[in-house]
This record gives sequence, structure tokens and C-alpha cells, in this order.
Amino acid sequence: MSQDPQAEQQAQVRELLGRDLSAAEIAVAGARFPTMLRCLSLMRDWSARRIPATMAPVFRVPSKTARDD
Amino acid sequence: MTDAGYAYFSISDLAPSIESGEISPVALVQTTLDRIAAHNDTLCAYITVMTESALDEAHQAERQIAGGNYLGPLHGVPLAAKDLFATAGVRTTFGSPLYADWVPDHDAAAVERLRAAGAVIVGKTNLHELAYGGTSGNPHFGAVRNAFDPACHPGGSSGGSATAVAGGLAFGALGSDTGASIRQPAACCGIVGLKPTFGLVSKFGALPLCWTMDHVGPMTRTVADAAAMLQVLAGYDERDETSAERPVPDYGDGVNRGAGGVRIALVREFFFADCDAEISAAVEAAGAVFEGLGARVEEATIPDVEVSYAAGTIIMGSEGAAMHGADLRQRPELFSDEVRGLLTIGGLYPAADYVQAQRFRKTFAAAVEELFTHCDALIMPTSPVPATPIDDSPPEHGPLRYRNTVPFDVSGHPAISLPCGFTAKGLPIGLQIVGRAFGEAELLAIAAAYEGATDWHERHPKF
Repeated sequence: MSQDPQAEQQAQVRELLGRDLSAAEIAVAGARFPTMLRCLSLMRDWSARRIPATMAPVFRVPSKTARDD
Repeated sequence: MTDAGYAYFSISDLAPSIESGEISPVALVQTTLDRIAAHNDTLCAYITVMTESALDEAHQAERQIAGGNYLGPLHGVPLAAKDLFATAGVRTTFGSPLYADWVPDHDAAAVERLRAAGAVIVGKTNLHELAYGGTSGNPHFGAVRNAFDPACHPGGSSGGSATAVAGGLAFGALGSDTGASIRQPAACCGIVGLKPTFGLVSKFGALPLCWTMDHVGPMTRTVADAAAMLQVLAGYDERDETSAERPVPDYGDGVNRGAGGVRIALVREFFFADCDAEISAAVEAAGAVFEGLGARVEEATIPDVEVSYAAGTIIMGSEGAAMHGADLRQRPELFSDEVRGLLTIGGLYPAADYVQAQRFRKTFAAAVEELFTHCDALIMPTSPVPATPIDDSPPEHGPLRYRNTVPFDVSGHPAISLPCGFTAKGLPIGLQIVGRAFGEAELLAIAAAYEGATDWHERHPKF
């Protein structure tokens, strides 16, 4: 018995985003929707095999102290 | 083109004649403006042509050179700037109605540096709306057309810059690259596009798509010209938080060095998947050219390269949504359906995945740099797909157009695209060469060696 593709996609969305997307959100995402889901899956797979303590280079304190901003 | 004259001369070829007074900057700029007037209706390469200021700057250059104050190889040379670089007193649209009336009171750092070197900015080039897309099919300012086949797109997002340079409507141009936007249009248009190492060229005054992945770089007809432009553009700028404080070497130093003994890694895995057969063949042939030049060509793989595509897509989407989120909510009618869709998707990525994507970058950049202990350059197709007709562009090309280039926006490594062939339909094919972080001098030398052994860069559009 074949699965309903839309139901399959919603199940994947629920797993990756933790919620259902509205029909309007899916419509605006259009043809890019599968790419989005694929990218999130790849990122989750990578995250699952990383040591959580690895430094995240998102922020660093400015190295110059004489800043006026 | 039949009225070419000097139009397809390289900057390096022109410079000695400009310095000696044999070629007048005023005549050169006027000829370029004439070509823009003749062909821009077809190509839609420029959004704004700066006729008056360009002629003023040309007269100034001519006076300076006649007075013995020659500033270097860009002096008196007509260049263009993608219309996301701020230009004092000249509107800077970002290819969007959101910025259609924005007239900055300052020049972007890249424009400032080109002008300080005596270059003449002739205009602001068209681009994919908000620099977010790979065809430059701009619904607000017109679809840019490929100079080799005006029925086809020129790539994007710096499509106007690529078409202007390819079509002889400028001798070089500024582009920006977040996922592909210098290299992929360069490949589609048969020119050279260099994305420098992240932090080498200041982004001050360049409207952002993605703060942590945007890069600024030159688009030219030869590798030596890219070196000449980079020489002026590179260097620390305290106004750009991501600017790298390090010495600037002589980028033209190695362009005649050759490729003997150079270790080239051909990366087939990932980069050749779903690749157009003519493009695969052209890049394989480029490997053979390097072998003929005395280089050692071996195969290599890049760890987690597919994850880098995912990380780049998530980061670009998330930061794009942050940059344009307020406008998207308040003025959605000012976005095309396409870009509104991309930004809407960007806003759906969970914050946790954005953070993980940024964490991934650190390990990926280290893994890419590690490859250079075993080789001097990586080669692969710039884009797995060529330009296609504007009215019949396959939807599956969307994710492919930036697939082979975004890994090096994620890692920050320098990468150059240069012509390596043509399809049976006469559309250009690009070879991507990637070098060590801040290794642009060596990268340019390797690219110049390939260029010197081939004649692809000498083929120009005819219409």
C-alpha cells in the first residue's frame, strides 16, 4: 500500500520542525520545500554525531578595547 | 559584436597604452558608454548608467596621467559596480523596489578603493532581486540576458556585472558572492570571477544578504585583470567587523609562474553528481591540461561536503530572513513571489539548526584547509548546469546552481571560476579552482597557468 505523499511530507515536517506547516506556508515555499527538508535532515545528522562541547564560533568579544561604539 | 574596438582588450593590455598617453581615458569611457547605450536595452546589464560622473572622472584621470601622476593599472579604466555597492549621490537599488529610491551619502569601501586607484565607475549593474537567486531574472528592473545568447540567463546574482564584462560594456566589475553569485555568473558568461577569502575584501557599504557568508570580489575577462583588481580591493578595513588584519601580497607576482610541480586535486565526489555531461567532460579535460603543464593531478574528497551545502542553505536563509524580515511582514507586495518564498522558508529554519550550521563551519573550514597539506588547489565544475533559456529554466536547476560553490562560502576559502569550454549550444562552461585560505596569490598563479594554455577566454559574444 503506497503512502500519501503529502501525509509523508507533513510527518517529516513534524519531526524536523516540531509542528505542522499550514497549506499557505507549503504553497509559498513551493519547489524549494524538499531542499529545505533535506538540508535540515543533513544538519540534524551531523549534529547527532558531534561532541556538544565543541566551541561554537558564533560570537567573540571584540579584540580592540578602544572602541567608541 | 561588430563595434568592439578596444571593448575586449584586457585591463593588463590597456594599462601601458593609457600610461603612455596612447589611449585616452576620455575616449575609452565614451566608447564604453556608447556600447552601453547600444546594447543595454538588449542585455539589461545596467540599472543606472553614470554618464556625467564617468566622463568627469575620465577627464580627471586624463589630466592626472598627463601631469605624470599615473596611479596604476586601473587608472582611467571603465569599471562597473553591482547595484548593491553604495555609491555617493547615486541610487543603489539592491535590485528591489525596497531600495529603489535610496541614494547613499557614501561610497562602499570597494568602490572607494577602485576610485582611489583611478578607476572610472561607469554604472551600477543589474542583479537578482536582493542578491538572492541564480538567474538575475529581476522582475523589477528587467531580466538580465546572457551576452553569448540573449535568450538565456547570465547566472546570478551578479548577472549584470557578468554580462557587462562578457559583452564588453565594462572592463571589469564588482560582484558579491554568498552562495555562488560571483563564480556561477562568471561561469555562465565565460569570464573570470574571484571570490576571495572571507575577510580579505571589505564589505563596508555593500548591502548584505547574509552577514557571515557575503564576500566581495572582482569579475574580469582575464586572471591577470582579477589580480589587478584584487590588489586594490584587498586589505584591512576597520569599518567591516569581519575584515582580516594581515599583509597584502603582490597578487600579480605569480601570473607567469606556470603550473609545473603544482599538486591539483580533482574532486569528483559530490561536485560531478547530476552534472551536465558537457561540463563534466570540459572539467576532466582541464585536469589533462594541468597534467600537460607539469602539474600532478590526483583525486580527492572533501569530508562532509554535502553537509556544507545544507549549512550554507540554512545560514543564508536564516540571515536573509533576519535582514528582510521586517519588510517581508510590512511590505510583502514589494517582493517577487520567488524571493518572498525563499525568505519565508528562511524564517522557518529553527534557531538551533542555524547555530549548529555555524558550529559546523568551524570544523568544515579546518577540514578543507587540511586538504591543502596534500595538494595546492582543488578543481571541480563551477556549476553543474549551464545557462538555460530564461523562459524555460528547469526548476530542478535552482538548488544546483549554487551547489558547487556554496561549500567555499561556508568554509571561507578563496575560489575562482574561469572559462574552460563551451557547450554545443555555444554557452560557456566554468572551471572552479579553490586555494588555501588567504592563498590568492598562488590560486591566481595556478588559474593563470591554465588560462595561458587555453584560448577559451579569447572567445567573445557576437551579436
